[in-house]
Parts: sequence; C-alpha cells; structure tokens
Amino acid sequence: MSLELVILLSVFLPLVAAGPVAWMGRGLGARAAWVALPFPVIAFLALAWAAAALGGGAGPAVGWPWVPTLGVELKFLVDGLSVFFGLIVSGVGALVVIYSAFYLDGHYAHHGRFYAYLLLFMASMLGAVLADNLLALFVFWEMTGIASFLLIGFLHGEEGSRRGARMALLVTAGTGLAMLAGIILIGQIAGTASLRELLAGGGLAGRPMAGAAMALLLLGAFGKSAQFPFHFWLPNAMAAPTPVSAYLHSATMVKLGVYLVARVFPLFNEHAAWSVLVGTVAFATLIVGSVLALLSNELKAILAFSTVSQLGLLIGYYGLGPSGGVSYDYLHILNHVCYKGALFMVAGAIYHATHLKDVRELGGLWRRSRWLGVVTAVACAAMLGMPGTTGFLSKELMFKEIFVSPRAHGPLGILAVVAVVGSTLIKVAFSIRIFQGVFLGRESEAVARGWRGLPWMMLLPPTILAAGLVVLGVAPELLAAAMHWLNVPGLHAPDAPVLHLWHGVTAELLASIAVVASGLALWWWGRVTGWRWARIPAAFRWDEGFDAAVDRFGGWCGRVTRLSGAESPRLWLGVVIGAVVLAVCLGAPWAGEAEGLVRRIAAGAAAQDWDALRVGVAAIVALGAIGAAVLRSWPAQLISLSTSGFISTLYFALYHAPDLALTQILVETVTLVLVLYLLARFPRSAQEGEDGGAGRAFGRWWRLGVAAAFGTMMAVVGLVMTSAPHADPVGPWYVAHTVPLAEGANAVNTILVDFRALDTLGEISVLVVAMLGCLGLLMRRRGPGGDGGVVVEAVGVQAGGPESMILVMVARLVFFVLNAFAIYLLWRGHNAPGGGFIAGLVSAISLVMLSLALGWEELHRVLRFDPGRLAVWGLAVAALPAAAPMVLGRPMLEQYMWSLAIWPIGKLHVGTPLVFDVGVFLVVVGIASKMLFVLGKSTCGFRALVGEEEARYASPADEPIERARPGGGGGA
Amino acid sequence: MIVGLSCGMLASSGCTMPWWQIPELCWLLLGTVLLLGGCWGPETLRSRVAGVSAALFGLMLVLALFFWAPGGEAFGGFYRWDGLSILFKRLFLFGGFIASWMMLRSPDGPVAHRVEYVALPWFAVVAMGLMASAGDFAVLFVSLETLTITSYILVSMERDRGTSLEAGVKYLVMGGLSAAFLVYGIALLYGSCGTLRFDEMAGRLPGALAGDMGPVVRAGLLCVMVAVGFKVAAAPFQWWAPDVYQGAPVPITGFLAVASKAAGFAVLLRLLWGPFGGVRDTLAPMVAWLAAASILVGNLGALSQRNLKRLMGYSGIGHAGYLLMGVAAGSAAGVEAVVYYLAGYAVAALVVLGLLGGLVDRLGGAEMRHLNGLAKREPGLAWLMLVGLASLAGLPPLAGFLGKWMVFAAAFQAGLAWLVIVAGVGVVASLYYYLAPVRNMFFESPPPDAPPLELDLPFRTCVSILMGLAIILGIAPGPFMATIGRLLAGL
Repeated sequence: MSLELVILLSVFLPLVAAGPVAWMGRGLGARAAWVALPFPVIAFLALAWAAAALGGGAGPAVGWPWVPTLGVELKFLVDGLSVFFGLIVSGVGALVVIYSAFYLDGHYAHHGRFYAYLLLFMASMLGAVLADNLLALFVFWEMTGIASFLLIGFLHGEEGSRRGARMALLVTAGTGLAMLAGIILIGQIAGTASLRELLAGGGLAGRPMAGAAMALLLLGAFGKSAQFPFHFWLPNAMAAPTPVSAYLHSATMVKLGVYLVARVFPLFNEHAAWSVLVGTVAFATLIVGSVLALLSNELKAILAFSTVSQLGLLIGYYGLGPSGGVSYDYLHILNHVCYKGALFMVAGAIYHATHLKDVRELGGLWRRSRWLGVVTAVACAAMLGMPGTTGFLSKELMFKEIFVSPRAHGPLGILAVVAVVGSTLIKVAFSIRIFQGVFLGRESEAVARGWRGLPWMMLLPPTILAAGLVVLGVAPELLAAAMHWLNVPGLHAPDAPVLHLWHGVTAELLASIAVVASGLALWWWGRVTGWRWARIPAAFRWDEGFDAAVDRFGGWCGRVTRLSGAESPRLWLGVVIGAVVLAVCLGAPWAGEAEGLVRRIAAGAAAQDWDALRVGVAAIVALGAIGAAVLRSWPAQLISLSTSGFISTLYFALYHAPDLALTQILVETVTLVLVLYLLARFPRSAQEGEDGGAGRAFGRWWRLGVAAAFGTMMAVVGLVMTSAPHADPVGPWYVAHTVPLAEGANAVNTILVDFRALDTLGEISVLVVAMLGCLGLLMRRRGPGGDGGVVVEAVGVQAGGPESMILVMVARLVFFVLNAFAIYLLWRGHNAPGGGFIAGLVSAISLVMLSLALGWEELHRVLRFDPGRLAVWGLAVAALPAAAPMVLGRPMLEQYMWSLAIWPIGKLHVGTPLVFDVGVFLVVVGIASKMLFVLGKSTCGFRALVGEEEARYASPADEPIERARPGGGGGA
Repeated sequence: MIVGLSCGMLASSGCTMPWWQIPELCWLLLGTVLLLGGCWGPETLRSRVAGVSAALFGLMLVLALFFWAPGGEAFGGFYRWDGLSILFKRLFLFGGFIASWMMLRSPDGPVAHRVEYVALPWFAVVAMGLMASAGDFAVLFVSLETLTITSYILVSMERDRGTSLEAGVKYLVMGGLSAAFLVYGIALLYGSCGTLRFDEMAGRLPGALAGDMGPVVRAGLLCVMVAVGFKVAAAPFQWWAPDVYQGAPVPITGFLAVASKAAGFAVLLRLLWGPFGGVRDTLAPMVAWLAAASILVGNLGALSQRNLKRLMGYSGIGHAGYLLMGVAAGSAAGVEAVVYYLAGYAVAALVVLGLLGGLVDRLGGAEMRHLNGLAKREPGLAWLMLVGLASLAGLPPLAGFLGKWMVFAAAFQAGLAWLVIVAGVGVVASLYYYLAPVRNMFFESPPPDAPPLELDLPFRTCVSILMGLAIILGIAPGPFMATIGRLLAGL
C-alpha cells in the first residue's frame, strides 16, 4: 500500500461515498449508519498503516499534479502530526457513527443525509489536517465549516438550530478569511505555500511582515477553536444532535485551530509576539470558559464551555512552548478527546433516555444504569485528573511545565499559572457536580416519568473512550512510545517523552492535591447554596449581540441593494458621470500637467474666433441649455433644449458646413416631433415636472452639479483639442481627392457614399435594426380590435382629420413640393449640399405634415405602403452597389460612373454612388416616418387610456398589462 | 458547402484571410435563412425553427472546436483572426447553442414560437464575433451597437409581461448611455492619436498620454472603459443588470449572462492587449477598483434577493468582478484564468438558468419559495441545480472553484493581495446566498398541490451534459488549459 492509496482511502473515498450514502439512506432509514460505518474504519486503518510506516522525521508529501500549467498540485503532507490528528478524526468518527445509529432512532428523519454530512465532514477534516498546500488547507478548512453548518442546522425546523448554524458558519468562515489573508502573506514572504517546503526552510520569525502573517493565521485558528473573543459560537452550536456535538464540537473540528497552531509552531515560535498573542488569548479563554461552565446548568452547555476552556489550554500550551519544541501535546489532546467525547456521548444518552438536559432536573440515574454511571465516573475522573487516568498525567505534566513559566515568560507566565490552577479548580467543581447531580441523590420525578431505557450498543462508544483513558492512564509507556513514534522535528523536543504512572511526591502532586481540595470545597459551597447563583450574566451573552448585528447587516445590505437597483437611474447616471469626471480631474495635477493644461486651455481659447456673431450664437445655445435646467414642465424643457439644437445649426453654417447645417436642422425637427409625441403619452401631472420637497430639490442640485462638471470637462477637452491643429488632419486629403477619386465635388457626401461607404452601410443596417427594436417596444399596446386604429375611432379622436379643406389641399401641395425638393437634394448630393440622409429627412417631414393635415388613418389609407418595409428595401438597394462588384471579382463597394447624354437635359453623370445614396434615402425616410406613424398613432389612442393606466401602475409590475391578444406583432 | 468553406479552417498563419472564410458571414446567412424560412417557409420548418437553430448552432460549434486554426486577418486588418477571437467565438457559439436549446422547451408562452426569438441570437452571435475580432474602433462600435440593439429586442420579447418590457427599456437606456460614452471616447482618442486602427493606436497612445494632450487621452480612455464596464455590468455601471436579468425570458437571461458578458470581456482583453497595451499599467488600477466595487456590490446585493433570476443578475455582477481581477493582473496567467473562468461560469450559470427555464412554468415562478421541496419532487433535477450553484459559489472540485483559484492566483502574483482579500469577502457572501436556494430545495416541503414536473429527455440531457462539463472542467482542466495556452500564446 502506498501513501497515495492512504490519501485516496481516507480523504477521497468518504467524499465520494457521501452521495451514495445520502441516496441509500432514503430507503434504509436508521440503518444507513451501517452503510456509512466502513468509511471511517477504512480511513482509520489506512492511517494506522501510514503511522506504522512513518517512524518519525519530516514526512513525505504525496499527491498528484492538478493544473500542471499553473503549477497547482494537490499534495498531502503525511507526518506524525497530521497522522495523529487523522487517527483521532477517523477513530472518533467510527465511534460516532456507531453511536448515532442508536441515538438517531425512528424519531428523526433524513438519516441518509445525516451520515452523508458526517462523511463529508470527516473527509474535509482529514483533508485539512493532511493538506500540504496552505491554500488547500484553507479550502478543506472552510469545507469543514460548511459541513458543520449543515450538521448544526440538521434539525432545521428549530429556530435555535438555524441560529446556531448561522453563527458558527459566520464566525468560523469570517475568521477563516483572515487566515486566508495570512496564508497569502506567507506565500509572499516565503515564496511558497507548501507546508513541507516551509517547514524545511526553517522559521519565518525574522522575515518582514511575519508578525502580520502570524496574527492573521492565528485569528483563523482562534475563530475555529472558539477562543476568546469568539468563544460564543460554540455553545450555540450545541443545538446540533449530540453525536455531532461529540464529534465536531469537542473532539475534532474545534481542534483544527489547535492543529494549525501546532503546525505553524516551528515557523513562528521564535517570534517575539508568538507567546504573548497565543498565551494571552488562550489563557484568557481558559478562565472565561471555565467560569462560564461553572455558571451553566444545562449538561451540554457545561460541557461546551468546558471545551472552550480546554481548547484554550491546548493552544496556550503551544504558546508557552520552548523553542526546542514541546513534549506532551499529544497527551493533552488525546486526553481531552477521550474524556470530552465520552461525556458528550453520555449527555446524549441521558437526553435520549429522559429527554432532559438540565442538571438540576436530573438525579439518581445510578440506579437506572450502572454502566452509564461507571463510564461517566471514569470520564469525570479524567477531567478532574484522578490518578489512574490520562487526566492525571496530563494535569501533573501541565502543572510541572507551567510552574516554571513565570521564570521564562514573566507576567504572561503568572497569568498562565493563575489560569491553569484556577480553571483546574473550577473543573474539579463542575466535574463532581455533573456526576453527583446526575447519578447520585434521589431520583427526580422527571426522570422517573420519562425514563425510556438505553440500548447497550449506544454505550459501547463512550465505554471504548473511557477504557482508553484508563488503559493509557495505567500503562503510560504505551502512549509515550506512540508519541515518540509520531514525533515531528521542529514541533517536538527531540528527546523521548517520559511518562510514568507515578512520578513520586513532587511539588505538582502537592499542588494538585490542594487544587482538588479547593475544588471540592467550591462544589460543596455550590451544593449548599443550591447553585442558585449559576446564571450567565447578560454582559456575557455575546451571542445575542452578534445575532442582532447580523440582522442589522441584513437590513443594511437590503438598503445597499435598493440603492444599486435600477429604480433610480438618474442617481446612477450621476454616479457614473461623476466618476468619470473625478477620474479625469484627479489624474491631471498629480501628473504635473496642471501648468501645461492651463497653457493649452489658453491657447485653445485664443484659437477660437471671438467675433460678435459667434459669441451671440453661443450665448443663445447656452441660454437654451440653462432654460432646460431651470424650467419645470417637460415640453418647455424640451423646446428650450431644441432651441440649443436649432441654433447650433448656425454654427455649422458659420464654419461653411452646409451639409451639416442642413442635417442638424432636419434631425432636430424630426426629433422634436418624436419626443413631443412621446411626452404626450405621459399623464399631465408628470408632464408638469417633478413636485417640490427638500429631497427633490437636492436631487435637482445634484444633477445640475454633475451636468455642469461634465460640461466643464468637455469644454476643457474641446479647448485642449483645438489648441493645436492636428499634425495630420484627414479633412484636406478628402477635399483634395474627392473629385479625382470619387468624381463628386461634395466631400461630405463622397465620404459617406464612397470613401467610407462600408461604414455607412453598417450604420444604416444598425438604423434598420434599431427601428425593429423600437417597434418591439412600442407596438405592444393594441386596441381591443387588435389594431390601434380602432381605439382611435372608438374614443373619437380626430381619426378622419380636420375639417378644413384648404388645409388638406395646401398640405398635399406642400407634400409634393417637399418631395420634389428631396429628390433634387438627393440628385445633387454628390456635388453640392444634399444627399440621401438630408433628402430622407425632408421627405419624412413632408409625411409628418401630411399626417397632421389628414390624420393618421387617412394617411395610412392614402399611402398604401408600410414605411417600415421601405426601410428594409432601402437597405437592399444600398447593398446592391456594395455587393455587385464582388460578383465581378472586384473589391466590395467599388464604384462605377457612367456619363449619359440625355436630351434635352444634357450630359448626366450617374453611377453606383447614386444608387447607394438612394438606398440611404429610403432607409432614412422609412425609419423616420415609421417611428412618427407608430408614435403618433398610438399616442392618439393612448390618451384615452391614460386614466386607466394610472390605476394600473399601482398594481404589481409583474401583472400583464396586455389587454388584447398576447404576443401580437406585425405592422401598425 | 458554404458552411464548410466559411468556417475559417483554411486560414493559415500570417496570411490574409479571404473574406468569404469569415465565419460571421456564414452565421449571418444562416440567421437570415432561419428568419425568412420561419416566416415564409413550409409549415414543417416553421414549427421546428428552434430545433433547426439549435442543431445549426451545434454544427457550427463542432466546426469551431475541431477545424479552426488561428492566424491571418481580413478586410485589411479590420478583422483579426487570432487565438483570442477564436476562443471567444467558441464561447459565443456555445452560449447561442444552449440558449436555442432552451428555447426548444421554453415555457414563455406564445413567444417561444416566434421566429425572431430564434433568429436574433444568430445576429447577436455575429455581432459578438465581430467584437472579438475587431481590429478597428469603427468595427468595434458598429458591432457593439448591433449586439446591444439585438439584445434589447430579445430582452423585451415577452411583450405581454410588464417586467420584460421594463427590462427592454432599461437595457435600451443603458445601451444608449454606453454608446454615448464609447463614441465620445473613440472621438477623443482619434483626436489625439489620429487613427482608429488598433495596431497603429498601440504605438501612439503612450506618447499621447504622456504629452500635453494627456487629459484628453485620459478622458478618452476612461470613456471607452466606462462603455466596456456597462457591457460587462461592472459596478458602478451595473444598475441595469438585475432588472434585465429578471425581466428577460429565461433563455435570453442565460444568453446575456454568458455570451454577452463574454463579449464584453473579449473587447476588454482585445483593447488592453491591443491599442491600450502601452498604457495597460495606467489602466490596471482602475480595473482593479472596478473589480473590487463589482465584487462588493454584486455579492452583498445578492444577499437579500428572493428571485433566482435577479439573484443571478446580482451574482453576475460579482462574477464580473472576479473576472476583472484576472484582467487587472495584466499577466498571461490572468488572461488564461479569465477565459477559463468564463467557460466555467458559462457552464454553471447555464445549468442553473437552464433548469429554471425548463421548470419556471411548472414551479409557478422564479422566486426561491417556488423551489421548495424540489428535492422531493425531482431529486435528479435538484442535484443538478445543486451542482450548478456549488460551482458558481466556487466549491471544489467544480469548475467555479478552479476558475476562482486561478483568477485569485493571477491577481495575487500581480501584487493585488488587497483585491484577493476583498474577493474573499465576496466568496463568503456568495456561499450564503447560493446555499439559500439549496435550503429551499432540500429542506422545505413542496406545496401540497404541486403538479408533476414534466421535463423531457433532451432537456435533461442538455443540462446533465452541462453539469458534466462543470465537473470535468474542474477535475481535469489539463487539455482545456493547454488549448487556452496554445491559442493565447501570441498575445
């Protein structure tokens, strides 16, 4: 058997088995335990084999490459420490599974799931103690947290379970994050995250940042091992079924912190802060835990707080460890695992038999179950350190080492002595209290009423643990040999540990006799006073404070979410634009550009033409913008804004750009009409503008500020851009080549239809797609008859057009004139201001005008075609000259020109650019008029529905607003 | 024939690619054929148009996976045919394939049989493909706009549902805003560099940024980055995402979450390893901050969500943050990690959204409570969902875990340890909200009058394959990573 196989059997087999166990459990019920049992047993045997093969020394790292390209490997470090913990995890795991088989009887549901979680936990736990890479350790570490979450919350019907599960997960996962940060720091300091390489490389204490890495790692360990101030989660985790408490929360998971401290002991124990940090926290925990245990009355709570305190002892032992290594850590750990595991199982058995948890309600169980009494007596004896148990050895050796610590550590040593002696004293008191309170005395009424008997197999696991306490306590040489066998260099002192049943009459023995006597006195006093004072003061109920904080955090997250939702895009627009402005502005002065920037702005300002006409035009544009900001009602804002747009036209004209001017004025017109139509769809109250109120006013100022900042930024950018003429402007090239290459005098047009015709083709395609998209959004509202027109007639809107005959006639006349003009613009576009875009806009405006005169219905009837289709056909026409040359094997969009002599007009230059321009014209006219039609038509029908609509807005958003055929599309 | 010819397999390294080999042309043609065939074709085709579309996507994907070789360019450098674009095009095709497979059994009422619903993803994939291949800002802008417009039609496809329309309008507003930023940015960059070509700009940009025009260049760069930030839904440009994800039909939500996000990252990588390559170190801190903000906003926002689609929206913001970490790392490892992460995210997100899409009508909605007792009603589906959520949460040994690992490692190696810690906070928060639906599925009891969940075999197969991919990518990423490394070698 190779070590790889050991890893496979111990870590991965249970992980894989968890699924099938859960599945089989559905049919098997409580018998699922027997399906799960082989896995911890196999893991234990495999690890025992590994332990036998090991024989001391730095263990090998075995594993497999995972992502070779990244150098990520899945390696496991098999040495004394990891195997020792692995044996505990799998051994206790096997016992707990047997125990659970009887504890979780028919009263519980989901047995399969329970054992699956248990296997999942065991696998992650073994992975955590065996992992070589610290990151892998972190992953397994968090997996144990998740498994613990699932197990604590197993009885998820109970509020306490859910609360405890959440608290445990948050505390351990949160501190685990600190550990991750520490791991990352270590990786940075040492250049590797592999434990084997780290340990081989020696201590890190001298490196910079080692203190921070150590503190972060320890934070993770403290959280996991419920050290002060994180001690509060462990008692709440006791809401789990008792086998879980016995396994996770006393024997194994909470020992992970101990494991980590032991693991990094060789790396950090030379650091000045190591003993201070570890010692202070651990011994404080020792005191706090034991005092709280004394003040508790529930059996499991006493055991939980005593676990907290003992974890402090185990961690503190490493804190005071000499640099040469510690000697007896395995003894202390094994001792605690055995007696605490046994006691938890006893507590579970008592609960199973009586459904009682409180020591004060119990009593006289000795007569009911002697066996249980003997097991408890042995475990309690080990806890208080009676000779003949490992507890005695543990206590004596601890005293021996601690009594010399004031010399080595000063005040910390004194704290250690006080904490260890004091907690042992208290431990004696509550050990006796447990045994006496539960087993001796008169049988209480509750016990007599509720006793249900105990299956003997359930008592087997605690008996095995108790037997271990006694056997190893009587024959400590066995233990010493095993400890020497599993010795880890760096962590452990090189000389073999010496364990004897009897060390002779020493100072420690006398001290412990005194401590036991005082403990007895404390217990006696408690008995005399009836433990009336045993109540945890509110100031120590940190768990409640934690819960409240978590709940508040939930509320805070909700608020953040509401803010980050799309409910207020205006706010977010401000944030986005503000961020951009800030990022641009912040960069400038730091880069030492301020001076150059000012110079640039000045140069840019100087480069502008400052004549009266231009300044006047600019002033009107600015006035329009200010009006939009100051005015309240939407239509007024819109008109004010479009004033700016219209006046901008003058600017183009001043700079001799007639094409741009024409386009601008036409686009402005069409847009204005479109948006006015849109505005008409809103209720009048909305159109009047937002109402007052302090918050609204603030919003206005905020938006105004953001807008002004962005405008200023763009102005500066514009000035900087114009401050220096570009070295290589493209404009002159086009002007020079427009006639020779494109055979057209209007450079703007030749760029559109010739030089950059591919872009234009793309643009008009996007336009057509955009039209389809807008239709998708707009054409949802259909009248009852399936057509908007019916609504129009039904509500008596002017479907038939106005009465005035003159208006109709004039409109028709103007329509033809305008379209003739449009065709003229289209024709001359190649050589003079005009072209497809401009002509299309003119034509679209003529249609709008006609619609105003005739009404939408009439216009639709007269036109007999769908403008939307016109746009699509336009695209096809434009694609024709683009694609035709390719058929002839020429480049796409190559142009051909012909001179035709047509009498009486004379010579005509026509060519493929004109065809292309016609396509553009059709697309523009089609899209513009389609949008106007759809908006105008639906708005007429819409008005009447507004009142009804407002009522609808109050209903939930998800409710369909559709009032007719669902999903209807098609032309308007 | 045209399919075989136009899939780019004949292109060899370093040569000019004939335009007819551009796969986008083939896709465009197929989309058009589907559209026209679905409108006027024989009845047999019209009723099966979604199936035909899915089959064609599958065929294209197979061609893309097995026959494409990088190298060459077309249209005089406007179109780049390199490893990066090939990787992303495969991802887009994959997204389109799964989305159209989901449409096969889309419960979204009459919409499912609308032909444009089926055909538009093709046009979207064409636009994405062009985005990934763009070698010029003009191509980039036009393709980005095409994608945005196509997307909002798709989002608002369920026009009888208020939220769908609302989502469409919000997407439209977002699209307009981001287009404005993009055009502004392009104009400023053009003004200061005098070119729109990526390769030419790469040489001129560092000089321009250092010169007197520095503020202008910086404003331009920022505006372009903002536009990309909108596309990938990074905070603070994320506000549209939750509403759009929730409102859109489920297949489209999946498509957006996977393909559209990937397209955004394709552009980001293309820009940062192309025209902006010389100023990448200037932009990297900004990307890192965006990543941190996205991780926090996305993951903390998701904590209080009760609707699964909305949850995916918020968590998608968080995932964008993790992806940005890889970009911010600025290393080859970071880019590889981003591609791997995207693939892993795509698979897992499609498992969750796919199941949701298949079940939403039977469950009665996409709220968490609708999942109550799914494990009792359909244990298989509940486990599929669990694997998908676990991969999204980044639990080992799934793809999501390895992706996070690689991204974090890349960021860490680039000295962004603080960002890794922020990401750790996000991961813990995400465990909480990804486990919440699990609790509903496994711990709660189903409603008493729950109808049976009928899910046909092809659909189950599809989702199961996706789940298998999530596991295989996580356990044996070797070949996949090798492909990524080979295709990105020249970056």
